[in-house]
Amino acid sequence: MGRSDHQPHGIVANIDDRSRFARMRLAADAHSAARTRAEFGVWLERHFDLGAERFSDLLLAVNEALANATEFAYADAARNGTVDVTAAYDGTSDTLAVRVNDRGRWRHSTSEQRQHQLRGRGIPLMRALTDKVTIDRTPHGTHVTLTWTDLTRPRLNA
Amino acid sequence: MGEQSGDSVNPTAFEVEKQQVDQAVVLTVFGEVDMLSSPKLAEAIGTALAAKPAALILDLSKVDFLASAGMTVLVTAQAEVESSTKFAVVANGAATSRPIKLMGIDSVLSLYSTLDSALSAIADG
Repeated sequence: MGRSDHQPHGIVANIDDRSRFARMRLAADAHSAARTRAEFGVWLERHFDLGAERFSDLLLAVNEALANATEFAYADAARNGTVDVTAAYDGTSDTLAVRVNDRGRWRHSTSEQRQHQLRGRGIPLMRALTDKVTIDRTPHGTHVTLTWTDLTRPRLNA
Repeated sequence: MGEQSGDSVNPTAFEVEKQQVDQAVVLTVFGEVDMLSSPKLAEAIGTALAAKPAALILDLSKVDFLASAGMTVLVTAQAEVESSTKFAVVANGAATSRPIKLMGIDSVLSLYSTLDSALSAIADG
């Protein structure tokens, strides 16, 4: 954590392996979210042999967490903030945990109607696509953790 | 929101092709439908609907990513379409029809797995 905090975003070394994917201090905008989603997909394909459904579910859930951070965390801020995305895979338990952390607050006071329209499906989608979702709202940011268990085990309904 | 950063990188290959098949306007969508491209999709649908076609078919067979932003476009289109226009969506796959069904949107849309089945359903009428 210490070192990357001092680097401007975009220059942070992306040292990924099967147990780790990390993109720190990403610009909280739609372009960056699309790029990060694509890179996460490349990481998944490189390290895991997942079925099409599982792969799509992971990509979509991570996208929705990123979209929420992009759309809402900094809605009232003068300029966009940043988002950290980290994924940790534990081979022993075959569990993947993806964390999406922003440093803003998901707004509830302003333009509630618009929020509801846009966000309406984001969180339900995450819940439907993921084994477990936790959303931790703190004064310093919102931390979303998406967890999949039995990641690589073939599923009966696949 | 500012989008000045990252202009050189465009991972979202998004395109809409329009064609007329008998009485139906078919919009074939390519690429990723996310919060970046959804406004373009909404615009394409709006333009097509403005001509008051007998039917509008949105073909998502070539879409490889559909985010909630895209689903909102589908639901909004369904709500805004006039009763004189039949509106149908074609989707079949892990990235499209699966999340549509998971969110129960298939209950408010006319969803077909192939363009042919959508066309014949509209022709039958």
